[in-house]
Amino acid sequence: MQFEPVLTKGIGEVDLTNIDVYEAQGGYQGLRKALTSMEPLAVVDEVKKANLRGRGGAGFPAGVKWGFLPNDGRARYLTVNADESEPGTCNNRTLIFANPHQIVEGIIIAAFANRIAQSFIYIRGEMKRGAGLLEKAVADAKARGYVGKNILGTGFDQEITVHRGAGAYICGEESALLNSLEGRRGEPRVKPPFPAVVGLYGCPTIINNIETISCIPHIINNGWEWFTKISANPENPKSCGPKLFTISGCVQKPGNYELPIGMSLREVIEVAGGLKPGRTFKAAQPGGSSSPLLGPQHLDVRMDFEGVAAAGSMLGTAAVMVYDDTVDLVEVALYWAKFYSAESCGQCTPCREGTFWLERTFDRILQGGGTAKDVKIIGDMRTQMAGTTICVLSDAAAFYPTSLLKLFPEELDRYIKKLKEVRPA
Amino acid sequence: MSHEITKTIAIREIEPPTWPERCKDEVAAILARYPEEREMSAILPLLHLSMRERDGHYVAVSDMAAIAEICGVSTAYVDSVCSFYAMFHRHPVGKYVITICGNMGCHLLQGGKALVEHIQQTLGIAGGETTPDGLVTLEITGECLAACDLGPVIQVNTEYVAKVNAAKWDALLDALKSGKGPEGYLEKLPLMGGACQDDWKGFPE
Amino acid sequence: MSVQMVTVTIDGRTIQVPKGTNLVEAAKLAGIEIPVFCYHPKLDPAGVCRMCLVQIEKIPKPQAACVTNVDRDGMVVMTQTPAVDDLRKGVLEFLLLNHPLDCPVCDKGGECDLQDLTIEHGPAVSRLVDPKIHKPKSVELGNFIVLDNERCILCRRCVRFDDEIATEGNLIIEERGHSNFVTMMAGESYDSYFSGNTIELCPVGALTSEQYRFQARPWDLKKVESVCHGCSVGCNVNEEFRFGKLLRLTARDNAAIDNGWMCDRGRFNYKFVHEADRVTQPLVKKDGQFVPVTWAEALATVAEKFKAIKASVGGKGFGVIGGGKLANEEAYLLQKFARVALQTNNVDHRVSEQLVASLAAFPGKQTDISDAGAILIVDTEPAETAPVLDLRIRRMADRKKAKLAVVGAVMPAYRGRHARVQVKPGQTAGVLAALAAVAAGRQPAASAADPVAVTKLVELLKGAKKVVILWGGNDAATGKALIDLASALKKAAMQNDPGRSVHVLIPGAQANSRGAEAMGVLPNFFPGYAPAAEAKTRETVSNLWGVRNLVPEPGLATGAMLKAAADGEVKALVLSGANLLNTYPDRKLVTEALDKAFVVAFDIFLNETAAAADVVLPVAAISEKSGTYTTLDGLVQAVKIAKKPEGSAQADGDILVALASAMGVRLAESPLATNNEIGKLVAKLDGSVTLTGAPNSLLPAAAPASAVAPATAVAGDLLLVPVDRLYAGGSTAQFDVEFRHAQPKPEATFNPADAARLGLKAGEEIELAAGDGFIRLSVAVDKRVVAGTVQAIRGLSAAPVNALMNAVSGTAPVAVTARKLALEVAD
Repeated sequence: MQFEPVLTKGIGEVDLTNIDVYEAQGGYQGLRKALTSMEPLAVVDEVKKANLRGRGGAGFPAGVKWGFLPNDGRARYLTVNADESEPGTCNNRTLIFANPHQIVEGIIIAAFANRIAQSFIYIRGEMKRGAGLLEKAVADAKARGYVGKNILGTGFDQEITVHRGAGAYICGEESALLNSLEGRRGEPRVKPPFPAVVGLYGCPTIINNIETISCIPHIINNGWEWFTKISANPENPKSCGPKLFTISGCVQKPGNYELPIGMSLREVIEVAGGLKPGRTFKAAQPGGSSSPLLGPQHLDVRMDFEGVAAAGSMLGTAAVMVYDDTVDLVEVALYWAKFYSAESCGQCTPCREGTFWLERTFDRILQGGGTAKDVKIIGDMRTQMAGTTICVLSDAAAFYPTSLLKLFPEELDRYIKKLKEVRPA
Repeated sequence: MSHEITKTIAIREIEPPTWPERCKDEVAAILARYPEEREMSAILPLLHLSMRERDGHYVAVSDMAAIAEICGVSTAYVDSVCSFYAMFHRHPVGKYVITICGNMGCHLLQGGKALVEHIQQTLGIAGGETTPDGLVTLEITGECLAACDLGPVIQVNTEYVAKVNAAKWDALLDALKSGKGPEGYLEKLPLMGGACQDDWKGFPE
Repeated sequence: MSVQMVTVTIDGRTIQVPKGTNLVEAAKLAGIEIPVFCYHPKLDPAGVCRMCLVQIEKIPKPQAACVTNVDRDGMVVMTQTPAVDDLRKGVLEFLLLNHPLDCPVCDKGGECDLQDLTIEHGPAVSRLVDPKIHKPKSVELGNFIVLDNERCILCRRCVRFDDEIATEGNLIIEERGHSNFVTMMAGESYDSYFSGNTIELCPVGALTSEQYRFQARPWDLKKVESVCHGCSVGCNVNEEFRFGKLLRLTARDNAAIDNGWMCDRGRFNYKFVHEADRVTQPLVKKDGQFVPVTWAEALATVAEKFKAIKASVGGKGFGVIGGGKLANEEAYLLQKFARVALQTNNVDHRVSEQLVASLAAFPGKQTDISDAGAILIVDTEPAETAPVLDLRIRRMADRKKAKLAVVGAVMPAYRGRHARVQVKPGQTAGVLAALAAVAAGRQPAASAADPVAVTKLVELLKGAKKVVILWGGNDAATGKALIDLASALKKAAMQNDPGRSVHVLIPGAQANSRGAEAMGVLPNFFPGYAPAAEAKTRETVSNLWGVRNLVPEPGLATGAMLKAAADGEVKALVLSGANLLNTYPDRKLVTEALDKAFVVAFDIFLNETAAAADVVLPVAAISEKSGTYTTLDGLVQAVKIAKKPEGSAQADGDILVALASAMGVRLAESPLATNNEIGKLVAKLDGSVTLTGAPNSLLPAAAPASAVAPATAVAGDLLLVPVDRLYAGGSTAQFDVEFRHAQPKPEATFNPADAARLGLKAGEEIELAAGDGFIRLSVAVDKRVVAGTVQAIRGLSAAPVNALMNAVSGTAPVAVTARKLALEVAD
């Protein structure tokens, strides 16, 4: 099927950080349409019907999420999650740096739909330039009357604050993000209550991902039906719309690609130039470091929420990491273990202790000190770590090693049986 | 692999910092971004600000105390928050903080391993250290820098430098040493399909 | 408001619980124990240790019971399935991974949750083959607390306590992940008044007591229920002994009083009981030197002297001061001793500026604070005088549950914003009078407070369903104005809503001030606040006591007694635990009185006052006698003897009876007879009784509240504000070698503007002088000090602030000058 980029249209051709350029490309038309010709509830309805699934990883329908906000007179907030830090993922960065007005427009429409007067963009600290670009976009939009008091004379007010994080992966978890935004340690909160009920400053709060928000202006502009038709797998109506894929690892052209949701894993790899000559496909992680492994038997899995889930993994952030036959999956395991151990907030016992235990275990295995007992320990982490903590970082940390055991037991076995030359200490 | 965990002791400065007065307007603007009585939200922005304003770009106890005062919390509370985030340095760092992505994609699959070794060799320091002349602090982070399309990637004071190899690093280091600065090497706007500025220079400054 | 009940089924048992009950508590109600580490019923649930994971029907993942509330009918919970067993085993394995196995030398061994739960649920072996993580050990976290970061399981109970209960937020978690530490800010010490509670909260041996460390195994300790005698709050405690030696004090939860908490003075200031410096034998001064004598000789010496004085000048030759530290029964015997054996009404428990310890017109409970709508704090810092009561105020402030207002020259700090009227000494009465006037709808006279602030404050107080006023009880004019204010509020409240109420709480200057007051240790009141001047009172008491010649005229109050002693009219002074040189606001007068009179001191230490006595009678300390004590809100609590007194020390009551006997007077038939007398005159002291408070007439006449700021004698002088500090004090705090290091340094605290004007820098040595008196202190600067005043700590023997005060002006403001000390240059 012929697919025209939606969210990344113009990137690499024109400078969309310039508000004139953005408007020339049809920017802020969605905002005009929503604010001047639609009722807030109609906007919510449109997004609901478009079946816009959250792009941050969980895939929860955005319109449904909006519907959870209680109407009890408390202030409401919209928080946009730009704390992109899932290893292997960099599609939000592209949207933030190259098309910030699309985000601003999406925020205003979402805020209008949910009668929210103040929004926050929580951007990871390392993306300082991105924060500056967003602040500039907000200021430019304000100068045009798209942000601030009485937008387009409709009486709708909207302030947008850009808030920088400071280096903590866990702040991408939505309740940790709220804590961080409130000036606390970025530790996830116990749920329930969910942010929709008790969120930022104890008020009802919507948290949407950058990419989710970026879709909003287009849905309003083109209608929900248009959005639902964008799919490479029309057999699955549950997933639709354009999706940014970050394809990295052992492919010829690692990078960001905007694709219709639902292509097969094989096709996605081909988009990025395919494997390097002479190499064979060994495994892939379809949705960042937190997603369980897929093997060669999964090459025809459809890259949509349902297809990947059915294969035992998850679409996550659609960060596809491809491993060919040269990659030692046990070594990859150590990277992930180190990463989760360093990024665990440390609140919950299983995560704090388990992540570091995994790190030490894989480190020792790679140095030749592994035993059969380690295999049992790693396997036990599926029940000891996954599903036992406040947030899912612990689950994420356990997914890769347990899927490694399941799909590629021989990889670990080679170390345990000392069949493989070990790396120096 | 170390099993010793020691505490980072924040530096105590006797004199209160001058930024609360010098940057009065900026502090007020930061506070104005958040709803009333939610001054605590300003803790992270103020930590960023105080770090920018202090020689050595770190947060001292006196900065934490000043922030605590502004935000209506205890100094210890600010310290607890500060210590949670990797970007808040509690000891002086070099003029340029070079952060190398040590995550799997860049490090294992895109040649980062060799690059880290090269960088350490040319600087004569290991990760976590600062060159004796105070020019560069090297950090090797396990946290993915969200630029897997540009690996191996590094950051120079939170600005990306893409697809770094030994030659590109050497040139960058020369620019830093000569005082020219990193400007020419920084990635301005991201592109699709893994392209970077080296491949395409279509954007105006 | 009725509580909605919901049904929950736990392990097949279906019960009804109040909606919102968390599953740990709900399980308890069903008789099922869910194991926990981070959960504590007094703290907000955190849900971090994950020990309490359970299965709930229709929820796929296991849920933490402590953060799962029963908020709907029909929840079905399983806590004893193989899956739950595995989860518990898993969490314990994780916790034990890096936990050092030093149980044999760990204080917590035997009362350790990690040990106990591992026995019940844990894995028998560790699967860790890598080295354990090493973290700092034996960290001296504060005055009394030692932290072992390796033993710490990061349940955060201590951090949450410091944040939620103490509301200080100084104990923190630093770093993240497995590098997490419980710690203090760099260079800071955990010197909260409540630090000791974290030892009990700690589920493992990470936080231990510096004093108790390595002293005993818990199973060897004999636990005796007792009541803390540190202040008038009356916290319930356990005294724990090994081989007759008091080794530690732990909290005993009483929701009406302490809510399970203790302050560090109560918890750690106990080793004086066994101190070698204790007076353990009667001492009689011969040729200026104390000589140990037998009880027979000591009592004979005193009796002879007293009989001679009685014969020559009669009862007016005696003065009896103190009794506020005694048990109710002993205090009763003390006043009876004065009135019967010494034939005088010269008896007064008041040893400081405090005039009253209760007001019957506005009775209040400590628990009233916890559902108050407004709390007004007048001229007192509850944290320093009634620390555990202050926790209630802190909670209300932190949770914004009550409106808080502070009036006075001292400004106690609480979280959040609250109304403050900061005045100079002597101006409080005027401000309260203005508040009272506005509350009563009258035009207020000018006061030190801004009229707008006065109006706002009255609105704040009137807007509350329940008002609690805390007051230091120190100044008669303030007291009168406070009564007017409380009356006006009560009246206004009654008109609008009969359910509204006004309560006054006065933290006692001594642990049993309120008991001593009620027992009649007062010159003008008999037990039960019966006026001494009324013939009916004397008739009742005479009949009960079987004596005929009770003195009709009221006696002298403490100040007047001391003046009379200095003038030679009072020939003998009996001091009961009264270290007047340390506490009475006129050190010079005390010195003169002690010089002139024959002084008999009942004490446990040779403090500066006892040292100036002619006879010192060693008395029993805490845990060494039985009796009842009265809390600041009138609750009577019994204490039983738990150990023998050191040396030949005796209980005060026994000494009084023996001394009277030596004088030929029968003071008490038996303890039972004394209790019966108290039962008739006051109330039966049986633990369920609440004593009524003092009548307004206990407040002496006072000059009308002055509206204007008192003038300082010389321009540039500052008005002295004596302040209370919990660890100050010249007796038990100073003589306890394991506690006195925590005593505050003698400091004079200035407002920054005054410090700048006088050219004073923090840390500099200075002299504060007033009249002939002067003390040496070091300078501190704090913007919470009112400009034009200087704060100095009461009760420090090294720099007695009462040397600057004089009783002639009573508690009127004292002007002091600050002088820098010239550098002494060596030749």
